[in-house]
Amino acid sequence: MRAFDKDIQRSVLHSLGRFLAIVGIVALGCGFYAGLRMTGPDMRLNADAFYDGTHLYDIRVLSSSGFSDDMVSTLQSVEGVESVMPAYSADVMASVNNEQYVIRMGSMDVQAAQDSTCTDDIHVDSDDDQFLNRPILEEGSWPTGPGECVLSADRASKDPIHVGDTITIDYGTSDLDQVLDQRSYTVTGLVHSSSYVSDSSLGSTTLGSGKIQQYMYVSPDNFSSDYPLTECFIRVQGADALNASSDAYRSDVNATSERISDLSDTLSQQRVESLKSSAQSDLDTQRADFEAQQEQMMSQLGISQAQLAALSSGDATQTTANNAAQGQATANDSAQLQATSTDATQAQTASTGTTQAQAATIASLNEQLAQANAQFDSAQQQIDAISAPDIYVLDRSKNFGVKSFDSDATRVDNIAAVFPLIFFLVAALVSLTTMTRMVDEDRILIGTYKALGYGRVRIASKYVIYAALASVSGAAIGILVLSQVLPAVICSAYAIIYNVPQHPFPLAVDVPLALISAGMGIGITLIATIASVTMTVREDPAALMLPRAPKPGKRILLERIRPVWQRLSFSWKVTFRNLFRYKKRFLMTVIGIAGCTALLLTGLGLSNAINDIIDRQYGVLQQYNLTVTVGQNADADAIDRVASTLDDSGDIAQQVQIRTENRFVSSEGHDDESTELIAPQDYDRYSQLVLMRDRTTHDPVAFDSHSVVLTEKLATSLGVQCGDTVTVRDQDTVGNATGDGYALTVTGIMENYVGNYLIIGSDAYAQAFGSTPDPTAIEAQCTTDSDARTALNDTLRSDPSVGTVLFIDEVISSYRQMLQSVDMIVVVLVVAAAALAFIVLYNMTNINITERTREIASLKVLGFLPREVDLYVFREIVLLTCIGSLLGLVLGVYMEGFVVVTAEVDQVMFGRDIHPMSFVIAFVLTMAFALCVMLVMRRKLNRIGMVESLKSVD
Amino acid sequence: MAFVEFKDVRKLYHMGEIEVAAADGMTFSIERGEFVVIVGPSGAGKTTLLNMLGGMDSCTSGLIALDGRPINSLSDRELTLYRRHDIGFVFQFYNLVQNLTARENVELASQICNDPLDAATVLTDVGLADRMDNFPAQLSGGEQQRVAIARALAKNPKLLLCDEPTGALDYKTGKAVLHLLQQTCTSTGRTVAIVTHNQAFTAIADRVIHVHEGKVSSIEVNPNPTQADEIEW
Repeated sequence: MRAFDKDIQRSVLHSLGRFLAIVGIVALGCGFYAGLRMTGPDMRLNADAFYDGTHLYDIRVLSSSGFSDDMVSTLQSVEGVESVMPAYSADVMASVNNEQYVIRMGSMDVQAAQDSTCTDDIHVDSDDDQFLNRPILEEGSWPTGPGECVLSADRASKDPIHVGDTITIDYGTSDLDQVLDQRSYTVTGLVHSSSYVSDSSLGSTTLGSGKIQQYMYVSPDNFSSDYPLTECFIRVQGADALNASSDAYRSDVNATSERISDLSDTLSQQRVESLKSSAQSDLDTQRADFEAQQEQMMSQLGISQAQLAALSSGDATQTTANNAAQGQATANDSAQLQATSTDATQAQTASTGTTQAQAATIASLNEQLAQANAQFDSAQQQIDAISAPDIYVLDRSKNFGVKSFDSDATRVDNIAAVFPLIFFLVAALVSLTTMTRMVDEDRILIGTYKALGYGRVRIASKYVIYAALASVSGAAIGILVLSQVLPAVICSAYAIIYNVPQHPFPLAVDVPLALISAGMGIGITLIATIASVTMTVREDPAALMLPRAPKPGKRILLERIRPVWQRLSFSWKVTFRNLFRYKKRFLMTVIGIAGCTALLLTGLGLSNAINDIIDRQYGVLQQYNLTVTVGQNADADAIDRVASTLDDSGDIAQQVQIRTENRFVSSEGHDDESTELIAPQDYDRYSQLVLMRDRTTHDPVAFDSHSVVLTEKLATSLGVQCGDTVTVRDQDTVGNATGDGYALTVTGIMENYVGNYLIIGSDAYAQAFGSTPDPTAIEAQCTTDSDARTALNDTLRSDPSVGTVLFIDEVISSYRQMLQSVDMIVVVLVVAAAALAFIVLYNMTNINITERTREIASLKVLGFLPREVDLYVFREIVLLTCIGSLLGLVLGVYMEGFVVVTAEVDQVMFGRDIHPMSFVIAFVLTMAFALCVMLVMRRKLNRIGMVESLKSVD
Repeated sequence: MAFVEFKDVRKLYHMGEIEVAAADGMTFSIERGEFVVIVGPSGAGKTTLLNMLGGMDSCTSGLIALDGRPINSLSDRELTLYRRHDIGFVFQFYNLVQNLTARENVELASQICNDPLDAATVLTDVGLADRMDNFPAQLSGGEQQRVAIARALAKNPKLLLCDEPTGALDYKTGKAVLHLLQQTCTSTGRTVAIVTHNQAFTAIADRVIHVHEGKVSSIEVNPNPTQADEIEW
C-alpha cells in the first residue's frame, strides 16, 4: 500500500467519531428516503402477493337477476378469462351468543377448500382452478356439509365468536325461504379472506347499520334451490404475473372487462331466456298438474266432461306460476293459486251429497276457477314481461378493502415524497461542516503534501475518498437497514386495520430507487467535501504551514447596548460572540435543530390534524348523530311517519328532513368528485344540526333557498370559490358519472372534514333539476343512552319503508380505529427527529469541543470547576438549540400544512390547526434531545487533559 | 517548612508493559518570594514537575506541599479550587480566549477568585493600559503574553507558574516579558517559578533547580541575581 493511501486509511481509523458522524447522517438521509419511498410499493407488493396467493378475483360480474349456467359458459369463453367461479351471496342479520350481526354470506366450494393447503398464510395451493377467493383457515376445520360455516377470524377476534358456536340467521334483504334452506349453522372454523382485507369496513348493505360486520362462507347446497347464482368471480389470464397496482395489470384487466361488458346484452338476453323458459316450463307443468287434478276432481264429483266443459268454457288454460322468475313472477301468486285450487277441491268434495248444493258448488267452483285462470294469465304475462337484467362488470377497485388499502399505500407515497428532503439538507450541512473542520485541522499536513510535490487533485482526493468511503458505507447501511425496517414498521401499523399478511424478510429492495437515494446522499457529501477542500488546496504551502490565525474575536451588535452587555458575565459574552463568530456552524446547528423540531411538530400536528377530524366533525360541526333513510320504494308518507315515530319516541332533541342524492360534481379542469347532495327542508333546523361556518373566521355561511354550499375539501379539490360554477351529474348503480349534468353557482364554502357535501336550497334545486327536492332522509339529534337507542332502532326498523338507521357513533369508532395507523407514523417521525437531533448536536458539540480543546484546558488550569466548564461550552449549544427550535416551530407549521394536505385521502379533510400543546411538546422534546447529547459530551469534556493547554497551536 | 516542598516525588506512566518514570524521586524546596528557574533539557521531567506543582497532575508517590498544605492527596475538586485560588499560570502560547478582550480575559480569571486584583490595575501594571479593550488577535505576541501574565496575577495567587513564557516570543519581547516577571517578583514579593530549557535564564534566578532524567540533579541559590534585561541568549 502506498503511503498516501495508508494516510487515508489511518485518518479514517483515527477519527472514527467524525467518520461515523458522516456515515450516520448519510445513512439517515438515504435510508429514510429509500425506506419511506419503498414502503408504499412494499405495501402493494404484500397485497399483490396475498391477492395472487389466494386467487382473488380480477373481475366480479353481477347480474340484477342472477346467473344461469349458459351465462357462466359464455363468460368462460370470453377471451382473456382464465377461470370463472359462480357463487351465491346474501346479506343477512344473524345472531350468535345473543348478539346480532350484519353478515354477508357467500358460497364456497367446501371440497376444494378441504383439498387446499396453505403453509405461509399467503399462498393457498389447490388443484382446482375454479376455486377463487380462497380463504385461509386460521382455526378449526372446514365445513363438511349443510349447516356448517366458517367466519372471519379477524372479526371473530374482536367479537366474541368461537369455533363451535351456533349462528342463527334471523332475516335477510328478501324472504329468507327463497334464499336459504338452512337457517342455523355451526361455526367449524375461522378464516382470513383476501376479499375482505379492511377491518374498518367489510362493505355496505341495506341491512342494519348499513355496514357488514362479519362474513361467512358455507357450502352452496345451503342456499335454496330456487335462489340463483348471484355473482361470477373471474380471473384474467396472466394477470397474476402482474402487480395488482401496476398499469399493466389494470390495462390487462380492463381489456377483458370491456370484452365482458360488450357481451352484457348477450348475457342479459341469455338470462331472460333461461328465466322465461324455466318459468314457462314450471308454469306448464303446474298447469298440467292442475288440469289433471281438476279432471280427477270432476270424475269424483260425477260431473261429465261435457258439463264441465260448459262450466269451464272460457278458461282456456289454467296455470300457476313458479316464482323462480326471481321476483318477477312472484311467490305470492303461486301460493295464492295453490290455496285457491285446494279450496276448490274441498268445496267440491264437500258438495258431493246434493245436486242442489252441487250446482251451487259448481258455480262457486267455476268462479274460483275463473279466478285461478286470471292468476295463471297474469303469471303468464309476468313471464312474458321478464325484462333484461342489468349486468355489472366490476374490477377489484370496487372492493372496499382492496381500494382503501391501495389508497393508504398512496398516502404513504405522498408522505415519503416530502419528508426525506429535510434529511438530505441536514446531511449536506453536516458533511460540509465536518469536512471543513477536517481540512482545517489538516492544514499543515496539506502544506506538507504540497511541499513534497503532491498535486492539488491528489491531495484533495484524500478528503474526497474519505468522504466517499463514509457516504458510501452510510448509504449502504442506511438503505439496507431502513428499507427493511421502515416498511416493516409502517406495514405492521397498517396491519392494525388491514388483514394483508406481511411479506417475510428480506423485503424486496427497489434497486433503481436505492441507487437514486444513494446517489443523492453520496453526491451531496462529495459536493460539500469538494467545496470545503478546494479553497484550502489552492493556498501556498508556506501559508498552509503556518497555523491559521484563530478566528479573531469581533464586537457584536449586542455590545452596543452597554447596560445589557456590562451586566453579562464573561461566559455569556463569549457565548454571544461565539454564536456569531462561527457562522457555518451556527447555520448547521440552527437548520439541523430546526429540522428536528419541524419534524416533531409535523408528527404531532399530523396527529392533531387527524384527531381533529373526529372531534371537529362529530363534536362541533355535526350536531346530529342519527340518520334514518327511507327505502327507494317507500310510499310518500313514509318520511312523515318516520318523523313522527322519532318525535313520539322522546329520544330525539331535534330533527330535520333532508333529501340526499349521490351525485358527481366537477368543475372546469377538474374531474368528477363523488358528492352527497343534500337538500334540507327546513334551513333553521338544519343549521341547528349542522354548523355551517367558515373554518378560519368561524363566520356563519349564509344559507337560503337559493344557496349552493360546498364543503371545503370538495371546493379545494375542484378548485372553485364562491361565485364559480360547478357541474352536477348523475350516478349510475355501480358508481359512474352519467349524463350531461346541471350547472350550479357556488354561494358558499363551509368547514367540513369527512365526506363531500353539496348543500342546496330548494329553489336552487328546482331551478337546476326541474323538480322539488322531496325528502328521503332524516337527520336527528338522538339520545346516547344505548337501551333507548336499541328500542328506537327496533321501532324504526319495524316500518318496512325504513331503509337504513345509522348511529354516527359507529362511524366514529371505525374512524378512530383507522386513524390509529397514522399514530404509528407519528412515532416513526419522532424517532427520526430524535436521530437527526442527536447527529447534528453530537457533531456540532464534537467540533465545538475539539476546536476549543486548548481554551477548555486553559480554563481548567485557571481553576474552573467541571460544572463551570460544562456551562461555558454548553450555554452556546443550549442557546443554538433554542434558536433552532423556535425557527423549527415556524418551519414546522408550513411543513405540517404541506404534509397534511398531501397525506389526505379522498373525501376527508384533515384538521388544519396544530394544538398549542404540540408546540410545547416539540420544543421540550428538542431541548431534551440536546440535554441527552450534552450528558454524553460531558464525559468528553471531562477527559480533556490540562496538559493540552501547554501544547503548541497545531 | 519551606514555601514549596517536594519530597521524593515520583510520577510513573504506564506505556503498555513498560513503566516510565517522568519524575523519579524529586526533592527540592522553594522559599517564599523567590524567583525560581527550573531548567533542564526537553524530556527531563520539568513539565511533569510543573503539572504536579500546578495541581494539573497528581504524583504517584511522595509529598508536595504549598505554603504548608500538602496537595498530593487532594481530590479533583480540591485541586480545582487549589488552582483557582493559589496558582497563577502563564502558558507558552498565552492561551487567551480569542473572543474576549484583554480586560475580559483578565476578568475571566478574576471573576472566579475570592480576593482578586482589579483587572484594569493589573493590566496597567503590565503596561497595557491602552490596549485593554483590544481582542487578542489585535495584540502582538508580547502583548498577549502580558495579558496572560496579568490574567495570572489578577487572581492574586500564592505562586505564579510560567511554562516557557518566552518560548513563542522573539528575543526582544521575550526579554521584556522576563523582565516583567522578575519585576513582579521583586516588587510584590510574589513567588514566581519559571520552567525553561534556556540555561541563560538561570542568571536571573534567586534559586535554580536543575532537572535531569526525572531527578533534581542540583539546586543553586544565587545571592545576586542579574537583572533580566542584562542577560543575553
